[in-house]
Amino acid sequence: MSDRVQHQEASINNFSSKKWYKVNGYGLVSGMGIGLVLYLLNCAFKGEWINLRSLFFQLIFSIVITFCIINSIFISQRLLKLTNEKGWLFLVVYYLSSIIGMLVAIEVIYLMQAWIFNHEYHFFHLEEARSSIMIVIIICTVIYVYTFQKRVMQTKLREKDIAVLRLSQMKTRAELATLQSKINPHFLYNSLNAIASLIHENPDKAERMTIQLSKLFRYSINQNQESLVTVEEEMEIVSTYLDIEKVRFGDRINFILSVDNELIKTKIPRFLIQPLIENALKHGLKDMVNGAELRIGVQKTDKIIITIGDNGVPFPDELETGYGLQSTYEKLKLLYNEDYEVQITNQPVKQITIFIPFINE
Amino acid sequence: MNKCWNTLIIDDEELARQRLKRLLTPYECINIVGEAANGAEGLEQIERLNPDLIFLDIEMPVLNGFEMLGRLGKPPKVIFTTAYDQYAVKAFEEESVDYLLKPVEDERLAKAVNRLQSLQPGTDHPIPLDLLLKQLQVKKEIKTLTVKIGDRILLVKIQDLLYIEAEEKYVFLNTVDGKRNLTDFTITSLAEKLPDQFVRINRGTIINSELIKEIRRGFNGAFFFIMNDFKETKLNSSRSYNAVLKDIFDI
Repeated sequence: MSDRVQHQEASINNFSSKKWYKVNGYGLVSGMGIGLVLYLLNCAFKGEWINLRSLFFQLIFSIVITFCIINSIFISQRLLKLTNEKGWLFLVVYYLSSIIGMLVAIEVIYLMQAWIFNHEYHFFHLEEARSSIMIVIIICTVIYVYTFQKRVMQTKLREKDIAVLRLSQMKTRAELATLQSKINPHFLYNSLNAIASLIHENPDKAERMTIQLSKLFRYSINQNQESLVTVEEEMEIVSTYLDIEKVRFGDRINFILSVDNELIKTKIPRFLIQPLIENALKHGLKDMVNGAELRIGVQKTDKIIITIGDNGVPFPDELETGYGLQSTYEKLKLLYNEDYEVQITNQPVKQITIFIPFINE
Repeated sequence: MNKCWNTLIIDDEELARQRLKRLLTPYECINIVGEAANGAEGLEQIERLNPDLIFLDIEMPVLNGFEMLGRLGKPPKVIFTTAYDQYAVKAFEEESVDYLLKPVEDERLAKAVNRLQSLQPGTDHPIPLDLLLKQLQVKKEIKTLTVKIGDRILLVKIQDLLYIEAEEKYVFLNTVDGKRNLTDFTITSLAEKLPDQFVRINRGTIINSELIKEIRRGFNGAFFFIMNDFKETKLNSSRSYNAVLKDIFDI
């Protein structure tokens, strides 16, 4: 919104200098063109080549006329701060200023003639004015209709562009939303079953787990449709998820979280880390009964480096991409296009490393 | 006279086992003899305790519920406990199978126990294990393949995959945009894993049949395939694959 206002201000300021040169440049070229055409028509009409002297005058006169008309229109529009949108007022000013420009041009030409040939000059040439006003009105109408249609076309095209842009933005947002909102239903039912059990065994723990589960789901539903969150928020949800898993499976796994303090307020994709942790628990550490370790790190270099590693079963050579990994790639692609990197390594440690750039907001 | 059931509970979550035990307390005919935290432990306990009935979770580490059943010669009566949505598992509707959805409902458990009691002794309903396995191991539809470039892992969408080619021990994924990437998959495992649109035309080549532009017959009786990429890649089949290819492409 503010962008547009600034843009408009800029165009008004440029009105006097840049645009004036541009308009007069066009005027010079079209004036010369018109003069040449008129000269050729004259020659054709008379059936012989008329001398170059009259070509020279024809050119000069045409240029003077175009200059006068163009600047008359330009100045009147500038003074009245008119734009096309003002409808009939614009039209009236447009025709009036064109006619005035023409009248001025006729007088200027007579003045020039008087000066060059030492003629006597007297003010106002009604005869020439009458005939040229007709010509001016016809030409002005042709130009107006042409520019009007061109503008209508451009507006339509721009509207289409905007619609396409909006559509693709909506699509991206919707895709991100579906990618983020997927918490395994299996996980939900098992957690609820655990709560049902805890209510009798340990009511306090049951209460805590209920709250943690709601927190996780609120985060996954993402009411505000934000695709980026701070590292702090994401890590809090990771901890919540890990707490729930601890209640379900006991302290079988040692979780190590390390986050670079400088990055706490940095924005990263929402729900980027949790699916990868779920993968590590499901595939890497599934069958490990003792000494299982899961490391989650967020480090700063010129990029943000996110690592999720474990000491369980190595990644297979024929790595199959399940929902977790695939959605990670899709999220990164939607948010960073090609500007991201994912590494999956077994040596020296087994981990997934994600490199993403800092996003300026 | 009600029969008594020596019962074993197999579930990897302690809280889930506790809950089931609690829910089963009122039933005098259910006599809990043991618990196990995964399929391997379950197997061991079944052999040791020889229970009449097991409550069996499906998703478990080491050995899952089905794998465990598959290793038993004559399994006891089974009631599955699972968090799977009932509609996802049609095989559970079979007469011979009973299941409880987590979180387990009291009424549903009562029904399951009643059903046990009404069973005619001696009539043995075998568990349709094959059916269960088939329906639960939803054939994962591969959408992407992983490709390694140094340490970098890229995903290649299979719809962008033009053809796969093996050269000696290396396997390359060739995409529509002309890229050629080395993959760790073997050509045989790709042939198995990829959906039917991918067709093997000779020992070392699999093509994406949705991206064929033209099929021509070669001089030696084999076919050659012109692919729908900007290079119009040409690939030859080997004659030993002719019968299969004729069948697939109706030529």
